[in-house]
Amino acid sequence: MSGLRGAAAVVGVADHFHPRGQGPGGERRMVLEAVLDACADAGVEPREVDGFVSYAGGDLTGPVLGTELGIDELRWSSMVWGGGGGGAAAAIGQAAAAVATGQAECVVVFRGMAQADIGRLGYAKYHFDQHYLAHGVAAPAQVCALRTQRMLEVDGVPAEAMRALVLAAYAHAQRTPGAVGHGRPLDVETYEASRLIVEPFHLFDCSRENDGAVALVVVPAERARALRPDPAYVVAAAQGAPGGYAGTTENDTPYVTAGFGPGARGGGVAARLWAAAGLGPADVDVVQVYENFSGPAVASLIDHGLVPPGPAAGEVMTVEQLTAPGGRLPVNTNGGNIAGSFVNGMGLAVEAVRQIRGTSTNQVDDVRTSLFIGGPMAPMVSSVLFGTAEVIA
Amino acid sequence: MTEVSGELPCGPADDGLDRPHWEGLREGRLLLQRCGRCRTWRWTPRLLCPGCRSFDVRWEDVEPRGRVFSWIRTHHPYLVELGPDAVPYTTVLVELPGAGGSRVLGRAAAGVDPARGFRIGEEVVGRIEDVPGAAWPLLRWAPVGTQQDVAA
Ligand SMILES: [Zn+2]
Repeated sequence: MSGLRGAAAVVGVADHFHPRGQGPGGERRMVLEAVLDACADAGVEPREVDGFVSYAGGDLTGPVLGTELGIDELRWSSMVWGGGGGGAAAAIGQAAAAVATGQAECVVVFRGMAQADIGRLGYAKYHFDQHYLAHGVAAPAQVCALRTQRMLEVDGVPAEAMRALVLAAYAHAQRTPGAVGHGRPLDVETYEASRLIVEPFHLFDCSRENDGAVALVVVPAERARALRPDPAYVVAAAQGAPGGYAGTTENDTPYVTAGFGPGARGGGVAARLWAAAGLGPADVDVVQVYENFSGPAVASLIDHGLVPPGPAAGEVMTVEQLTAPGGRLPVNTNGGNIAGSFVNGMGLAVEAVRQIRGTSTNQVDDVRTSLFIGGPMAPMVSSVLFGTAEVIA
Repeated sequence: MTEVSGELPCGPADDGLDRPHWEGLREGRLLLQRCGRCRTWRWTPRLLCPGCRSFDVRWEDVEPRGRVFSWIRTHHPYLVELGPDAVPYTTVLVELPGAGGSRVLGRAAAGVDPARGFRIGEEVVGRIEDVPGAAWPLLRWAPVGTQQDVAA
C-alpha cells in the first residue's frame, strides 16, 4: 500500500454539458463556471483554491485560472504530460499527491472542451504521421480498431462484449436526464443495423462529442471530513504504460492491452493500482471506464482483471451484469462517453464520486469502492480508485 | 482513378529521420532501420537503439513478405485527401519475419479489392506501387497465391 492511500479526497464536483459547438462563452467561461460550482458543492470559497491540474493540453494554466478566480495564493499548477485522455485519472492522482504531501491544500482538477475553440477531437489527424496517413489511417478510431480487431480475432473476445457495454450505457442513460441517449433507448437490432465507422466499430461503439466543462475539488483527508460526511477518498492512483506502448507505429509488444497491462518485465498501471490500494478487482463495487470506443473499454476491463481475457470475457460482459443496480459489474452508470456526454472522459470521474456519495441516478447498492479508468489505448493511461471512509479506515 | 481528391500525405517527416525509407521505395526497395551494433530491427525510425543504446543506425533491405498482424476496414471518410468515394477500404498491419517481426501498415495492392477482408495470420506479399495523388511510392499488400502474386 502507498502513502497516498486515503490521504486526499474529492469533496466537490461539477459537470456541465452542452450540445457540440453550443457551449456558452467558450472553454474559459465554461471551466470557470464549473470550478465555481464545484467549490460551492464542496463548501469551499473560490479564493481558497491553491492549485490546478488538467490533462491533454490547453491554455488554461494555473496562473490564468487563479487570476480569474481571485485566489489567495497559487501553490500548484501541473498538466499530465502526454497521453491525451489517457491522463484523465492521472490528473486526479496529481492533485491527490499535491495535497497529500502538503504542497497544496485545495486543488481543482478540470477539463473543458469547446468545439469552436479546438475543432473536432475525432478528427485530430495531426496526431498521426505519414506512416499512418499514407495508408488511410487518420483517426483515433482506426488505430483503436486495429488493436480491437486482434483482441476479437486472435484473443477470442466476443464482439457481443462490446455491444453489451454499449447497451448497458444506453440503459443507464434512460435514467440520466441530460445524457445524449436519454429518451433514446437502444436495442440489439438498432445497434447491429447502425452504420459501420471502421470495422469492427459500429456508430454506437464510438463516443460522443460535445461541449462542456468538468471540475473536481481535491483536499486533504482531514479537511474533507470537516467539509462533508461523504468524501470520495483517493484509495490509489496509477499512471503510465508499458515501455514504448503506442509510440512505435503499431510495433509495441503488448499490443492488445489498453495500456494498463504489464510490460515485458511485469508491472503495469493496473497491477500498481491494486498494490497501492491493498485491494483487487474483486473488491470493486462499480466502474466508470473511459470509452473512446467500446473495444478499448473492454480491453481496459480485462487489463484491470475485472473481466477475464479471451472467450470467457463474454460471460461477464452481458447487459444484465453490466447494468445497475442489479448487475455484478455495473459500468458507466451515467451513460458514459457513448450514451451520456463527453468532456474528454472527465464526466466519468464525477459519476465515480457520485457513486461513493450514493447520489447517482443509477445508484449501486452499498458502494464502498468506485473505480475510474482513464482513456484507453493512448500512449499513456491512468486509473484511480475511490473509496468511502470505511475503506480507508 | 478518381480515388484521390488531393495530395495524399506521404514522404519523409520534417526531421528527415525516415528519409532513407522513402528514398528506398523510389528505388523499389523496402528499407527499414536496424542497429549497427546489436543488429536489432526497429520501426518506425528513431535515433537510439532501445536494445543497446547505440546511435549506429543502418538501413537494410527487407523482403516484402509477411503475415497479417491485424487489419481494419474503414467506412467513414476520415482522410479528406482520399475523397468521399474511397470508402470502404482496408488497411493491413503486416508483420515482417525478415525484419525481426517489425510491423508496417499498408493498403491492398493494385488488382486486389480495396475493401477485401483479410484474416490475421494470412500470408501476404508486398508491392511497391505508384499511387495516384501520392508523391512517393507506397508499399501495398496482396494475399499470397492470388493472381497478383503469381504475376509478379
Ligand atoms: Zn542496438
